[in-house]
Formats: sequence, structure tokens, C-alpha cells
Amino acid sequence: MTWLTPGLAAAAAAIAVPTLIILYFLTLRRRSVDVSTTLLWKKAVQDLQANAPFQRLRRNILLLLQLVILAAALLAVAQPQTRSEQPPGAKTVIFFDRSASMATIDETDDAGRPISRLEKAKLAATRFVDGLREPTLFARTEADEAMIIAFDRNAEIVRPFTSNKGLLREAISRLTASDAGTSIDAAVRLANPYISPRPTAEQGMLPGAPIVLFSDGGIPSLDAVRIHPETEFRYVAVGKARTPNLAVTAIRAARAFDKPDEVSVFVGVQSSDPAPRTFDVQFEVDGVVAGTKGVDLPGAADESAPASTGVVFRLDRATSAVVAARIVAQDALPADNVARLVLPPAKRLAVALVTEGNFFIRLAIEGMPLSKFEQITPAEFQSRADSGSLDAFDVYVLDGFVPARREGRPALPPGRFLVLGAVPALRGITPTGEPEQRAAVITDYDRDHPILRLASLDNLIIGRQTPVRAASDVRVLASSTVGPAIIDAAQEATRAIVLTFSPADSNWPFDQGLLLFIFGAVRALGDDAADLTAATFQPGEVLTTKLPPGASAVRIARPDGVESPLEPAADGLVTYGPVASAGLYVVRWNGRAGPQDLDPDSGRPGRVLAVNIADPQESQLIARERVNIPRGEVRAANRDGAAPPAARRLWPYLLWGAILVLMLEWFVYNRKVQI
Amino acid sequence: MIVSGVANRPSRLEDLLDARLLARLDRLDVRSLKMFPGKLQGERRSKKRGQSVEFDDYRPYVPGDDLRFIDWNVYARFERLFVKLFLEEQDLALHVAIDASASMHAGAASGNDGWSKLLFASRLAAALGYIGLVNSNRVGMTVFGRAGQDAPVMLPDVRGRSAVPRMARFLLDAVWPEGEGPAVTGGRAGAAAEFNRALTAVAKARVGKGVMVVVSDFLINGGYEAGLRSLAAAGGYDTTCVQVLSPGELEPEKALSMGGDGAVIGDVRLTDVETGRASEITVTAELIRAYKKKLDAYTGALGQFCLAREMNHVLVRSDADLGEVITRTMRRVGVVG
Repeated sequence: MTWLTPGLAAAAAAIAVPTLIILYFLTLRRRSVDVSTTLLWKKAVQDLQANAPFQRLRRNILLLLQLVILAAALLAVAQPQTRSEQPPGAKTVIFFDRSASMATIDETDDAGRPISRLEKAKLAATRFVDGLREPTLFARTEADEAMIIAFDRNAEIVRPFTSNKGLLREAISRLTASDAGTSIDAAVRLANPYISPRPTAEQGMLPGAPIVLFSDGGIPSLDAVRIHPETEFRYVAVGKARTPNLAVTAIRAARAFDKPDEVSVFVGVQSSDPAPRTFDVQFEVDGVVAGTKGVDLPGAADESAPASTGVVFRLDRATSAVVAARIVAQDALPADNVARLVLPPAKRLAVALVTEGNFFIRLAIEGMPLSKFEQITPAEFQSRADSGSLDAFDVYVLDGFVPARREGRPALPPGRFLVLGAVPALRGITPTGEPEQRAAVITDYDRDHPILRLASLDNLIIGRQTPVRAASDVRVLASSTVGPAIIDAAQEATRAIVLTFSPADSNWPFDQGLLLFIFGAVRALGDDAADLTAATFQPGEVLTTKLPPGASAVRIARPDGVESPLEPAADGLVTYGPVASAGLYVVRWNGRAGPQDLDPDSGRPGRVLAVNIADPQESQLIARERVNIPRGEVRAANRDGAAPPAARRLWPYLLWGAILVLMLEWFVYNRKVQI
Repeated sequence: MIVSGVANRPSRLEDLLDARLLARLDRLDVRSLKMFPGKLQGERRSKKRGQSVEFDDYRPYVPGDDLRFIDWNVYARFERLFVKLFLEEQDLALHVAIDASASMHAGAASGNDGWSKLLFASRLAAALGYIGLVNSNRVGMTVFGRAGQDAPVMLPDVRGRSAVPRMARFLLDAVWPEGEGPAVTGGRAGAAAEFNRALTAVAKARVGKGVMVVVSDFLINGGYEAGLRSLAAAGGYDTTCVQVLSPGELEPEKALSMGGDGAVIGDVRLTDVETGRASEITVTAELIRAYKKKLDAYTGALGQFCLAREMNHVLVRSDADLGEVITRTMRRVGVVG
């Protein structure tokens, strides 16, 4: 036990105890009784006092009780606490893992009931908070403070530094597991100002606040996290190692290029069970079971190498659908046993080529499976644009042509354009000179972009290119020695992929890459979901989708049914999140439906966004006794033995005791009076 | 225990002694275990042979004897002169000394109900005086110790039933003066000196021999010994000390239940009504036990003191029944019979 303010209590006692005794005699209200003689009383008192000089004090139970009350109050002023390991006034940063794996039910509470890792970590964190040093009555600076940062893929300060244990406990109790993966980087970034050593003028470098990590230890790249070597790092482990789990780790769909109605859905499953597992994977279309396939998986070799395989389901479906793959088995983490996917309708695009005549481009577009193709002249385009009848085609390919700029209107009307060899006046794109007649090669391009994924630009040599400057809000897909070569730009309802050179001025027509580029660009423009899996998200990500121009009254419904309004950006982009849980999120709006949207004729079309855990690492349910940080290995603090002792305030008990004794005194007083 | 004024001051003999009690007293006479000659022939047998109707013995006639006492019938039979001897019946002097000091007011909380020690003492004195007077004894009284009274007040010896009103008037006036309540508190210091002086005065004023009854609580700070000793030294008196104590003095812890608020328990300031000095004490059960032990020792010492000087000592409660006290207690010690 420690005393926070013993000196104060001693001073108070030195004043209060003699004062009480003196006041007791000074202010004692004695009843006045006249007697025949005090002779015998005096003799009796003398007799009693003969052996006890302080008889009056000792025999007076009321004074004794008052002294007890005073003693209890004075001890309370000294503020005893049970001993705590922390130095007074320490600050601690609590990192609380709430990733999907923390929902695993493989722990037990004090009563032996099964609880999730998260609940176990909450118990441990609450115990840790209980152990923090209490603020004293007179100085809050003596108290330990803690900050709670909850993290999964993202991080959030759920409680800034406070010494109020009630607030800390309340923040801990509100924590819930998300379905997101794990990354401690964001948490470390949030805590960085506090956990890094800081220089002070008086005391030199002060160590940063210690970190206490409550986690199952399944944190990727923890060993690369940037924590100062001098920052204390404690790890409180929850979870049991090698908890068996089955998971759907991936879902993808693809329509056959030649038969768009035929869909193949690829489902990846894994098992972290050391024993071989046989289970069924159920395939659902729009909530109806469409098929089941049995899966045999061997036992996982070790915790970090689960057994995995793929299952393929086939489906004939031209229209949009929500498909789901579900493992039919019980395991420790049910949330990762299902993955969903929104299948867009099989749709062929209508494309118009605006050109004075370009054989290569026409050939490339004609080879695509389109519903409609037309070649028009710039003049025809201009007249259609003036009459507002550009809706007939999904994508216009402008070959070496941009519409004349009209007063008060943007250069390009609302719509989707692939502009070849010309630079439209769009926000963020500024021509810096006339086209230069000199050879340029591609220096960098975005190989992962859907448009360029198949079209290699490594061998592209450009003979003539318009130098432009691209602002940071436009996306440069490829840059050459002259400048941005392929730009993805958008302004209000207009989206355009701009080539600042004409393919005819390069060696591209002799490469199949041009065909693949045009194919990809037209598809990307005409169908934002050209890659069907692009529409799936993971928990912890921000949902983004671009709604058709003019969408209004946008609302998004979460899997649990809660709706929130969304405000679309000028280009129709809406964002929501980061989302915490997996499931289907439905966005509805007033306005025109996009080509893949639900209920296109209802006036309030919808779009389904699927959020899947689909995280092989998270689904391994790793639980580690020790974690590696850059400084070295950290063993779990709570697995070595007893939990750290908690600092508990004892002075409230003393005050309660004082009140009890006060009541006793009242009782004694009344009893005495009634004799 | 509490000392307070008497609600109704007794103003007539009937206030002190009711008719039933008087009827009981009529059957009693003042006695003494010692035989004392009185100045007049009274109704009391005396060792002195004299003129009375009660024959005692014969003795041969010697010249000078009263010829009226020669038994001529004996002379006729024996032809010798014999003189009849009679037990001479003499009157008896009864003197009652009443302590009217402030401490005697204790126990009067609920009025004229017999608890006041002084009231009880007055009634006892009146009863004894009545018995003495109706039996043709000389009765004298002394009242001493009253606040505002420098010297003891004495009733010279009176005699005969006709003196009963005079005795009663004296008693009422001396103990309960008109228009003046009994002194309650703030009594004078030197109560012991008063007591001793009074008894010395009584002893000196003695004429002849007789029965002396001292009615007091004997709670005297300076001690009662000197006064009693002077009484004993004077001789001639068959002295009885009637120690009257109130219930509150005998059982301090019970006083509250007697209708007052004077239970001596807890933190109290005790004021000595005679000296006016206050003592602050915390009365506990243990202290009360010690007090009672002291009280027993005190009364025991008084008894021993009296015994050593051939005096009687009687302890009576001020709430005791007076008739019982007279007919039993006083008869037991031989004051009445």
C-alpha cells in the first residue's frame, strides 16, 4: 500500500486531533444537576481515577468514536492506495486490436465461459486501467493517464489521454470487433507524437509514453513498424494459438469474352486446422442456393501456412446478380466464412468513333464485342452535341479532334470520351506548347491500371507529342520524356482518357498493345466495373463508387440496415467509410441508372457494393505469445504469471467507515441518554 | 437527586400529618431505653422511686419519711412501720433537631408527595412532637441550617396536648417561612460549621435529660463528627440520628424514572447546593457503583460513629411511609413505644 499525501494527513492530524479533544471539553454540553453534596461523587471519581489518570477520556465512548471518525478521515486524507507498478503521473498509450481475428471465440472469461479474444482483451485492458494510479484529491498531475487507440486496418483514438478511469473503462467497453484486417501503422502514426522521445529544455530527452498492445499478435509487418527503440513496448496477448478456422479468402467472377452470359465465379478457401477438413462450399445467387461443392483440405502445416484451394462455380446469367460463397461449417470465426460479389449485367457497349478517317482505330474498335458502332465526322458530333443527343452512345472516341470551345461551356460535353492526339480543355490539363516533333519514349506508366494492365508500353516510341502540364487532381497513367502521355481526367459529368499524342504518330499501331489499350480504355470508360472484382471492398476501406450524372438524394444502407445520406461529388463519386463490417452495402439515388445498376426503371435505382473480409492472413487467426518489433522480441506480459497489481483507492472505504462509526456514535449517544 | 422547590408549602399541621396518621400516633409514646428523671412527675416510669400509683417495694420506716407513704395495713400485721415505695413516673424531654439546610430539599421534584427530605423531616418531627405532647412529655425543637438564618431557631420545651398547635406553628414557620421558598441552591459555605454549631447549641441548652432525635441527611462536607460528639459529651440524651436520604441520592441512576430530569448519568455538571461549587464529571455505570459504595461506607461510618457514642442511627428514605417509619423503625430503635 502506498500513501499519496501522507505529509498532508500528518499535518491535518497534528491540528485536528488536539483540537477535537480540546473542543470536546470546551464545547461539551453537560446537563446541570444540583445535588445535595458532591462529596460522595468526588470521592467516587477519585477512587476511579486513582488507577487511571485519563479515566474521563478512556471511559468516554463518544469521544473515542469521534477520534475513530477523525482517524478514518485523516487516513483518507493521506489517500492510501494499493501499490501500483507505474511511476506516478505516467502516460500510457493503449493499442487495442479490433481486427476481424479478434472476434474469434477461443478464450474464456474468469468464470470459464467462452468469450471472444476481443472480450478477453477488454477484460485485460480494464484490469490495466484499474491498475493506473488514481488522481489525488488535490493534484490531478499525480495520476496516470492513458490514451486508447483502437486499430484494425485503420486506427482511431477512442479516448485521448485522460486519468479518468471511468472514461477509459467506458471507452474500452464500447469497443467492438470489426471485420477489417490488421495494420498497426496507422495506430503508430496516430500515437507518434506521444510515444517518441521528446526533447525538453530542462531535462533533456524524455522517453516517450510506453505502449501497451492488447492483441492476438496477428499483426503483419509489426517488425517493420517505426517505434523508437527507447519506447517501452508491452504486449498483452489474447487468443489461443492454432485455433482452427475455415475461410473464404477470395471471390472473383469473370464473364466469358465471347459469351457474356456465362459467368465463372472463382472462390478461394483456406483452412488453418492442423487436421484435414472436409466441408461444403455453398454458392448462392441473389440469396438462393444455386449449388454446393465439397472441399477436401489437408491439415495446415503450421500457423502461417494454411491449406488452401479454389472452387469454381459456373452460372448462366446475363443480368446483374449478387453471388455469395459460403462455407457450411462451424468454426471460431464465422464472419470470414462467406464472401459476396456483385455481378454486373452482361452488357455490350455502344461506341462512336469521331474521325475524319482512321483505319487503325476503326479496326480496333470494330473488333470489340459491341452492341453498336458508328463512325461519325467531327461536324456530325458537333451538331449532335449542340442538340444534346449524345446519349445514344456510351463512349465517344475522338480521333485528333476536340469540339470547339463554346462560350460558358466546357470543351467536352457530359459523357465519356477517349481522346486521341488532341488535348481538350479539361480541368487539370494545360497544354504548355505546340506539338513537338521529336522522339519520346515512355518513362513510366501505371502497370496495374485496368486500361494498361494488358497493354505494354515498354516499346512505345512517340514521334510527336503535345507537351502538357497535369495538375495533381488528374491521374497520369503514362508519362514520356516530353511529359504526360496518357491522362485520365474528369470534370463534372465528363470523363476523358486523353492521349497527348496520336497513335498514328508513334509505333503503337504496329503493336497489339494499341488494340488492348483501346479495348481496355473503351471498356473502362463505358463500364466503370469492367473488372468485375473491382467493385468488391474489404472492411476498413472507404467505399467509393461513381454514380451516373445527376444522381441526387443518395443514401447508403449498411448490412445491418442503418441508412446514411451521402453527398455525391460533381463527377458523381460518392464515398462512405471506412466500413467496419463485411456484407452488402446498397446505394440508392434519384436519377438515371447506370448500366449495371439495380431497378433501372424505378426512378430510384440502386447499386450493391460487396464488402468481404477475404483476408487470408487475418483468417489464419494467428495468436502469438511473443511479437517482434524492430527492437527485438517482446514476450506477452500477461502470460508470465500474475497480472500486475491494480492500484485501488482505499480512502473511499475509510470515509465510508467514518460514516458508519458516526452512525454508531449516534446510536450510542441516544442509548446513553435513555438510561 | 435533584434539588428543587416544593410546589406546595405545608401551612397547617394537617398538611404534615393527616388524621389517620394522628390516630395511629395517639397509641404511641416516646420512650427511651435509658431512664431519665424529668423535672415534673410525668407519665414515664423512671428508675427514681417516687410518687406514683405503681407499687414497687417496701422499706423500713426511718424518721423523716413522709408519713403518707406508711403502709398501715402492714403495720397492723407486723406492728412495724414500713414505707411503701412507688416507681415514680416522670415526664420525658424530647428534643428534635431538624436540619433545614439546602441539601435537605433534595427529592422534591414532584411536589408535596413526601419525597423532599426536608418535608419528610418536618413530618417526622411533627409526628414525634405530637407523640411527645399527647403523652405529656416536654417537647423542644431546633431548626438549623436554613439559608438566611444565622442561628438555630429553637422551640422552648412545651408540654401537653394543648401545645400541639404551637409546636406545629413553630415547625411550619421555622422550616417553611411564610412568603419564602426554601433555599434551593447557592447555599452558604460552612454548612458543616452550621451543623456543628447548632448541635453544640442544642447540647448546651439542654435542661435535664431526655430523648434527642437529630433529623438530617448528614451529608455535610466538613463532617458531622464535631456536632454529634458535643451532643454525646453533654450526656443526658438518648440520641437517635435519623438520616434521611432521597431516592435520587440512594439510586442516582433511577432518578429520571421518578418524574424528574435529574438522572445523574452521562456528562453532567453537578452543583453542590450548599457550597455552590460545580463539578463536571462523566457518570458511568462504574462511577455509579463507586458512588454507591462510597454512600454505603459513609452511612456505615455514621452508624459506627453513633454506636460508639451510644447513639442510634436510622437510615430512612424520604419517600418512605411515615407511619411505617414511626411504628416500625422508630419503635425498633426505641424512640417510641
